[in-house]
Amino acid sequence: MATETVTDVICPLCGSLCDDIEVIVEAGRITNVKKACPLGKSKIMGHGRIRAPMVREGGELREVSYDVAIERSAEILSDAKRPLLYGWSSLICEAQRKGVELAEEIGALIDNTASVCHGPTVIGVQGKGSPGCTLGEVKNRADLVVFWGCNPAEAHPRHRARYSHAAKGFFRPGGKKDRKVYVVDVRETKTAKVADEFIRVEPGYDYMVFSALRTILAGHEDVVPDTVGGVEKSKLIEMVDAMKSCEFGIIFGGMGLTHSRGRYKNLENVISLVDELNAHTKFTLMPMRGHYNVTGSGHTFAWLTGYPFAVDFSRGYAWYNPGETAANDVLLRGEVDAMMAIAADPGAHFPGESLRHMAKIPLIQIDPYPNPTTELADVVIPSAISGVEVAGTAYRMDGVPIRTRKIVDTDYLSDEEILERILTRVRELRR
Amino acid sequence: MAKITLTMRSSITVPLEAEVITPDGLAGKSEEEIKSLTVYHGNREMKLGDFFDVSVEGSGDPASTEIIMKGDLTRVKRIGEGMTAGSIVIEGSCDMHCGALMRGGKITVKGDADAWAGREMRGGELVIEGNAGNYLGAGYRGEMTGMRGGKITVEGDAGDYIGEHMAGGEILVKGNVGILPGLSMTGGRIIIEGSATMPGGEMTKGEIIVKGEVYDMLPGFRFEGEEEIEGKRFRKHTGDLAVRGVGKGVLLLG
Repeated sequence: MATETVTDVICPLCGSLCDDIEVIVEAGRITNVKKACPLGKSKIMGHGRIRAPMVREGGELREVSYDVAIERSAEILSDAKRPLLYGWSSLICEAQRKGVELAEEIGALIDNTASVCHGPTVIGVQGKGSPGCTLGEVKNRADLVVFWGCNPAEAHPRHRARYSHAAKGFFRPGGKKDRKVYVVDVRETKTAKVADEFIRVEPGYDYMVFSALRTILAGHEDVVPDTVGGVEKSKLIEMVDAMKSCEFGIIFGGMGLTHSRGRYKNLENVISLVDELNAHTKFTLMPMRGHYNVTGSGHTFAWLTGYPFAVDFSRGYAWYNPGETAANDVLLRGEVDAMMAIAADPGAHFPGESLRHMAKIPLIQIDPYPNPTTELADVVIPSAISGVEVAGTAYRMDGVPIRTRKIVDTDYLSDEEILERILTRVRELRR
Repeated sequence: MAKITLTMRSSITVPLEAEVITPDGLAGKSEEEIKSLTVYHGNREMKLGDFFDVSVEGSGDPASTEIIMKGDLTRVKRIGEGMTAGSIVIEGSCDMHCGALMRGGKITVKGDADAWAGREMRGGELVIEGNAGNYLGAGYRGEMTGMRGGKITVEGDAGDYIGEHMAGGEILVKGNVGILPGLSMTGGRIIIEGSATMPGGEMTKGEIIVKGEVYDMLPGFRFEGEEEIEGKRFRKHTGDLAVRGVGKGVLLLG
């Protein structure tokens, strides 16, 4: 039996988009994956796919043809007054583009998983700017790395080895030896255990710690109290000194910043800190993005609508106001009367009250895999796995677009084809 | 003098966007003309008369027009947006953006007002007899200037980030507020009679007076001594020095 090794495969799991994966293919089936982390390997190997399109009848999901599922989806969406199209992060930009077209056609709200993830970072960037860089620059230049409220050792397993900690770069040939790593978190994570310094902040006090660092940096350490958010002033002063005196610094921010008290204000504050540090040295900031192409969904939405997530097309033009137009804002208020969940699992990640509303309204799911959302869905449409069975563009967490590869053939329709067919049918129904 | 009464016939869940409801928008119009004005219900364009009973008594210019709103208005957004004169009385609670971009006249909300009430207000008066939501008198996302003028009074409590990017005017909250009131404030005055958490973050000018408890005082403020206002002693701080060491806002704590 012919065995083929496909090299330089892009891993479609997390925002690190590792691009050195080797996939072993035997007779058109993937039989092994090398170099990937366990999370990525599991995704590429595939597991327990949704077998066929399904429609719920009498409380039970019943297998139907793609045609029937697409027809039912088009009817649901064209009847809705306040439809929500949510997800868009574990698929390619080409499908995201089609999604925005559908949202505009039916006057929907379209939102991606940043909404419950790095949305606050995105809002912070809009308020204060984005002092970013590429992961290549981190690898080759960074001598001070701060992981703040993130835990790459468990969430982005190869990030430290490939880009940020042990990676050997042009100006950092010693890898780990040439970098100082701080972890700032509310608990001692697996990443904290391998860092040079671990600073424990009381939950919800990141904003105050950033304010203290900025006040010290501005030369007013005399007004700063002896401890701020559980961190001693002497430690804060030491940290500012380390930040000012490094050659190239980076703060990687995680959910610990975006989903604790202050949310996007934590990000605005740390962006200003990074901005002010640039008066002394080169300093940068990067969010640790989760889904492999959530960064791409922000980019695609922004170049098509002007806004990166939580876009409301109900009045025919794009309006954006997280707090008013994000998925959970409208679900918690019970506004939504039909919903599509695509390439994300709100069933596992949204608050109970949102799920209760999702259970009441017609829900369409498009995904390669069954998940808790499937249990609530009225129409289930299986799709090909982007980055394994379909090629297309994805954006790494640093905003670098990378073309993912197609490794094997499939009989499943791609997300883009499913959306195109729903859109065509919606246009006919609305005529 | 004109008195226009709009009575919402039934409760709705999909919010109605009704920025047309201002004295400027309704003054001088007949009942039929008012009923045929456009409102937006989800992705549908509808008529005001599809939701409201309308009665008009008398006639006049915007300044002499009073709008009375009745019924369940908890899902009616943008009431009084951009109004320049006249008055609106909301006999109950209303949805987001009430009095946004207001330049003159007066709005009285007898119940609660949801988020972004008085957003980017420039003049006039907004009185909320119940509670206000988040972003009271703040700016829209990405807008670097919030309220510039006018006065907002809240008899109850207000939410988080009130007066964000505020540049002028006055906000008075008689109850408690949430986190970061007066964030990035560059002017104007906020008076909080109850408690506040982390007031004045990144403020560079303007004044915040907190008469009740302050939770989690920010680290970038310099204590300047005590000051007496209307017979009461306040601790005066200036900052936020986190902003390049130049913050000159005033925080008075009772």
